Amino acid sequence: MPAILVGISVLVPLLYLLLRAFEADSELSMELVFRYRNLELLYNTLLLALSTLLAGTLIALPMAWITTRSDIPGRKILTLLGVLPLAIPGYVMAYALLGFTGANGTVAMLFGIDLPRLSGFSGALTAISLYTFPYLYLNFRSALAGLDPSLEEVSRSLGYRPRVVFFRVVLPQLRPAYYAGALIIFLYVLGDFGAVSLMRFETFSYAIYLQYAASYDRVYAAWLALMLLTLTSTALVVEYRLLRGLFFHRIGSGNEKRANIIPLGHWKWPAYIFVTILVLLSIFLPLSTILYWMIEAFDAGQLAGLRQALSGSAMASAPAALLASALAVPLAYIGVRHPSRLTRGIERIAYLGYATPPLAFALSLIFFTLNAAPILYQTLSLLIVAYALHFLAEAIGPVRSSLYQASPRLEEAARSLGYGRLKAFFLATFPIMRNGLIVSAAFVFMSAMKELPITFLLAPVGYETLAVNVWSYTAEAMFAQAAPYALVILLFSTLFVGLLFAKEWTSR
Amino acid sequence: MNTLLLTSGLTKCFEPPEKVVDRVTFSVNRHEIFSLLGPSGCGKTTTLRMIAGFERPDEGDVILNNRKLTGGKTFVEPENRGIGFVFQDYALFPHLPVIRNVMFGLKNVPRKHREERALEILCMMGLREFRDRSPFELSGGQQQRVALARAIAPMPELILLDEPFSNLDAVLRQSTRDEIRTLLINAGMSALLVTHDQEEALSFADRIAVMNEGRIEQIGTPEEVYYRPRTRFVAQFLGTTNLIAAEAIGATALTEFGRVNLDRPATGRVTLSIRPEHLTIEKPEKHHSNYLGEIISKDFKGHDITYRVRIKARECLVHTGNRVNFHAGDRVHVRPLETAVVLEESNVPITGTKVAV
Repeated sequence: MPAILVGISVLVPLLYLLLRAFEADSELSMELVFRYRNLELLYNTLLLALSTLLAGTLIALPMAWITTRSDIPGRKILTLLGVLPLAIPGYVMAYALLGFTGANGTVAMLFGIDLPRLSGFSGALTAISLYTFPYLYLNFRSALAGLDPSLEEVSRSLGYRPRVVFFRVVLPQLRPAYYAGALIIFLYVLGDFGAVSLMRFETFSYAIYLQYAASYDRVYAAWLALMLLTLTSTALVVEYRLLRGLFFHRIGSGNEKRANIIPLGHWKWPAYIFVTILVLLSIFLPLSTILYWMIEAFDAGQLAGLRQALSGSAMASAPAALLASALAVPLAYIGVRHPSRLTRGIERIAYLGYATPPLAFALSLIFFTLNAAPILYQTLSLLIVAYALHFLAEAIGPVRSSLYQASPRLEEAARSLGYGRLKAFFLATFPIMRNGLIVSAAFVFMSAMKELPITFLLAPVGYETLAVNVWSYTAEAMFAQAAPYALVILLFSTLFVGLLFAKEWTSR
Repeated sequence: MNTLLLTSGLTKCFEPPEKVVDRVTFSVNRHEIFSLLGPSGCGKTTTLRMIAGFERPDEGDVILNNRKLTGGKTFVEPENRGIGFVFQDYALFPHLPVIRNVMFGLKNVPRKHREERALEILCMMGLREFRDRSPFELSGGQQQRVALARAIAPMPELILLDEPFSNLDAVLRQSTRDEIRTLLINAGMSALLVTHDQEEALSFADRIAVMNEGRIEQIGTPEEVYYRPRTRFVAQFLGTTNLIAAEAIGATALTEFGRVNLDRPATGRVTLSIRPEHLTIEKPEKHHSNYLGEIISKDFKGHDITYRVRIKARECLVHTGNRVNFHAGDRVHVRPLETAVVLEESNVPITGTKVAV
């Protein structure tokens, strides 16, 4: 029952999006759909998504190879450096890039060099690539580490040179990992609002925001959201098609061997230079920019505002985290204990909420509440529910894996000892799930703390959060004012990455 | 009546039309240890789970102590059945120490007496010093006993055991089995044990039901099912046997090694089962010339010997004591020591003397 409720609450708002879009008479609808601007937006969005993908691949693949297959010293630290950029959200990255370049940027202030200010396509591409490449990196890394080295040895013995082996044997096997990582990046670019809006590059998300916030044209906003949703579902379908039948398990038994390590020799230096540049750009630049502006113009008076924004973020994120993990329990439970087409479908819906571009999701919730429950419009509760539904997918994973650790026999044992269904669950299974629940609440909490677009549309008027403040100060080029908020966000998202990393580390 | 548990016509399909359990009917008496024996996938565990209430049968009744637990519209939830269950993987609560695991089921005992009562059971099981350990810190045999202690503690009249000894190594298995049998008898409980290990069923149970493909093929004491198997499956599943096609005339039948006595009168083509230890071999005498066999191989196993003998292009196994000494290639006469058992369902043609190992 609760699972079905969750499903409905994700789907119904999306229905309202449709309703709102078709509110317009057919003539107007036709006009809205076939506007030339839409084509422009589509081109911009796809251009940005594909370029980000390309840039991400060019960064992540060498990085993954270096950290899994080469003998470069310090691979563990390098691995961490490859993941850490995840802690710097796209809009913070955009903030850093904007604050670094330009006439009043860090470089100009410190060295007197006037770098052209990054903006538009190149700015958005740089900011998003530097933030998202770790998703690809993580996938490549685990795939490379899990490859069966015998396949490479066999190819060598059949007369292929190592370089040829890499392209003919290794790369094809990385396909599933690549598609999975690429999908995440693609969905992220479609949904990104912070970086593109700060860089003023018009993609669908940015246009939705402009339509909604600036010109209050809700029908067109709804149409744009629908187009964005169509793009998202296309990406999902393509991914599904590509992955179907692509299962590269090790065939046959035999001892699992560790991957071969290849000595780099003199190639070590280019590798170091590559990693150094990457770290300088993806970690050092944003961190130093934030710290520069902090020190440059620190004003104790800002602390009050910071405190207010922090509590604003926390007051929405903490209940959302609790709600999301509470909702994740029944969803994961039916999925694990009663696997069937129906339960899998219900679980999928949770992922749909995650894949839906945040602005489209927020917009659909607005239409829904305005029509069905106007009391909720512009309230904190709505924001909390929106966070919880959007980040539910993050909560399900840890809950599900902890549920797998609790054998259904435990509950049966409790029942044979005289406890009812619900009590048996709480006495026998729940204690084992506790760690998973804590992890999933932490994930949702930290994600919600740095969430921007949903907060933007759904937060009550005047409600301040860390992310909103970073964005609005940056949008007005008030870099010093934005710095403390950015720093606190970095703190939380570093915790998030730490948690992600700790899980990955312990699970192998 | 003395009957504690009665199941009648239990039937269960997971994927129709294949019936995992097909009209299973049997009863367990008070103070009896009863075993469901069969190969994996024969439906024995599903039967057990239906009795416990973890699965709902499609048809059939479960009656405990004259109270209907399952059947018609009645379905008593597992927690209200008062039946103990010991799982194959023990299912100890990993977040609770041993003593709390045992106390878990004592919810009807006043709170202040629970620990005392649990400790009593642990002492009885020789687990006293492990009371504060976590289940992880116990060996397989100890976990097994804790699981049993937990099931016994609320003093149910019936305990169901699902392959409880299969996770133990061979040495531990025998001793644990003996201990637990004694414990169950002393506690005055009845037990229903599911196993695929024929030796375990024979030595542990008072009565055995042999299951195959969802059906019970025979119910009886260990001696009955071993010495007088009703069907070919039972004969082959419980140890090694020689299956022989023969022509029966009344109380005897004509076989490759001469005329043998039957356990019951029959006529026409029949399938007989004779255990290898119920045969012996001798030096041939003149009147045996029609039924001579040749020893193909000899397998010396210390206190006994297994011979493989070929008679008229068919082979049979013979267990003898170590005094009966022949060699491969010797021409011998095979003589039955006991009556041969006439098996039902002999419409299936037998192509050779089938040896089941």
